Amino acid sequence: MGNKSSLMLQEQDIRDIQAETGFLPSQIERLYSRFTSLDKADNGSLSREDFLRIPELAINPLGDRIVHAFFKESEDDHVNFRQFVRVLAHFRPIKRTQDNKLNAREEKLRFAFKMYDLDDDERISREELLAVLHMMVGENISDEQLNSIAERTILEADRDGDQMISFDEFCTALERTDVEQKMSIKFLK
Amino acid sequence: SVSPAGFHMTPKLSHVFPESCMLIVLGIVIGLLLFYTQAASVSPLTADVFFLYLLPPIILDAGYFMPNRLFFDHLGTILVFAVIGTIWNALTIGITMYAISLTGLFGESIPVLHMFLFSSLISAVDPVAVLAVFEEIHVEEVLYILVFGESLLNDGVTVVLYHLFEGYSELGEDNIMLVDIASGVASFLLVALGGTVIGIIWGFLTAFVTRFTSQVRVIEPIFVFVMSYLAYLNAEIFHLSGILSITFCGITMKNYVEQNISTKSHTTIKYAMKMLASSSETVIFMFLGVSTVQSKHDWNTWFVIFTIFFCSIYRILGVWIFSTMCNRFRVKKIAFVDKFIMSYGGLRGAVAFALVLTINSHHIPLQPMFLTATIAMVYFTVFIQGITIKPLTELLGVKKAEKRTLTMNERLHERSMDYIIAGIEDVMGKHGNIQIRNKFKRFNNKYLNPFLVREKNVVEPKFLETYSQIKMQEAMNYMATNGNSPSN
Repeated sequence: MGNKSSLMLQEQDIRDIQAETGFLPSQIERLYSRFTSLDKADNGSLSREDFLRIPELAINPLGDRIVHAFFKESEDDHVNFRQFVRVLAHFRPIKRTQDNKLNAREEKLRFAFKMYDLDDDERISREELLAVLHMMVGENISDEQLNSIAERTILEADRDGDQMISFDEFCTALERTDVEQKMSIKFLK
Repeated sequence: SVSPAGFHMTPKLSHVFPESCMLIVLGIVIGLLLFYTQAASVSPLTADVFFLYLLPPIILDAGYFMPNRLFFDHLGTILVFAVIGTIWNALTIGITMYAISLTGLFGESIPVLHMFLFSSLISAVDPVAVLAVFEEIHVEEVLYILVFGESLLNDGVTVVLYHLFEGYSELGEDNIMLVDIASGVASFLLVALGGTVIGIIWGFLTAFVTRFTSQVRVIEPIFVFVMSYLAYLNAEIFHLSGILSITFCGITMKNYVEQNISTKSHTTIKYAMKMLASSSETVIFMFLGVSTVQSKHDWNTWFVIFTIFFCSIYRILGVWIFSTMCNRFRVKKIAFVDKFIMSYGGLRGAVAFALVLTINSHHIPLQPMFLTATIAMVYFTVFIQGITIKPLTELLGVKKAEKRTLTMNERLHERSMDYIIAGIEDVMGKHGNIQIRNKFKRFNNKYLNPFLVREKNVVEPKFLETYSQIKMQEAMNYMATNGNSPSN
């Protein structure tokens, strides 16, 4: 597998991806070999089915939403390697010495925000919040309790009184959270 | 925590000295009074009293109120420090001190195994002293959990190394075979894991018992205390690590017990535990002072100086090496300042003292010298390091912890961030901490919770908990601002 991936991945591609995402060449090759192993159809791109075949992801309450995030930029319901890596780049740890736009704190927050904001109107409504809550909590909690939690969440974050959470309000609400750490993954070299 | 009221009343003193220092001084004064008036001979701190009565409350308190999430997130680093770090300290200190003793500087020849016995008891960072000092300075939580977790978990290593070298010393240098060394390694695994497993079993048992106590609310706190103490004794019976046992008992039972018992019982447990822990902490430090006056000393200047010197040097070196090593695998790096505070927070305390007391002076004639050096080391770390650590954290700008309850937004979004990270790691085919956590959570929700928790179990109990906490706080604030509440 390793051989094949390095064959198909041109030096030039690696350099481009490195410039765009900040990954090291060795990391890119490692991700590429993962990409090809996910790509069951062997056509250089991933479909939704390819993602959902990952067993753990299928039972992740946010699994669908996470998969959806990969398809944000693609038009034909396929993700090529470039797009794949670009999404993953959001989760690179932030280093003080090098800055990269994709893994900035704001980008990490935006990724989390998008999990809620399904209709892309840059606002989390009460219904959107409730939907995510339902996914995470499951059935055996009363609707009443869930409603009051959702209301409380909006009340806390909402500054302009529109009963929704905008991205700015979302960021303000998470001011004290160590997003840099919580939304970062140690990528293997 | 509890300490002589006079000490808290004088604000300036408590800015300069940590409580533990003042308690030791007070102990010395009492010891001197008793000594010169010959009024009474208080038997000084004995190892049994310490290990059976004074230590368990402190460790239970630490385990029960352990921030589980933080602890398990950093478990890898903590284990490296607790296990490899302690072995490293014991070996390097032992070897260097033995090498020096060969030059004849100490005036006596110290057998190599006796030297290692000493180095193994002096090399363990003490949970009591660390807690006492760090509770006051409130450093940032990650730094805190690293130092504190290390001090709790290194007990397994300390106990094993201590008994190992005790046994070796009795055997004599020439009779040790390869088998003995191999059995030493095996006994480490047994002592540490065995203690942990016993603790976990008792933790589940406690949770299970509290499931049925809804009719007799008054005995709920008793169960928590008695059963965790039994966990400690149970481990000690088999010479396993009691500290690890009671720590994990506390960690295991907490979540289930809190869902089972009434709020009032919970408040009782919380305050009784805090009170017991700080009382024994107070007693330990005062006893340390009294014992200093009353024990048999053998002062050996070079030995004391080198002990202190090498303990500090190897601590700094060890922290530097191991944190650099861990940083390769950590998302959040241990910064230079953190390394410094970690090495500086390596306080020695009553565990070392109690261990040196248990040395049999028939087998090891140099016990009085070891005792004096241990006391000197404890004083050095508790006084010099304890007093200077607070100004140093301010000078270096170490981040301070902020104590607060999470807001609903933080609770919710941080949880969804966990799921995002778990999902992304699955996509990458990488197995991380959060995946293990989620696996355990699913297992817990499916099998453990229905069995251990009385009420209908909920998948994310923390959401509800945060919600009711916030509501409760609001209600309390409301009552406070709107004055004349009839009760209270």
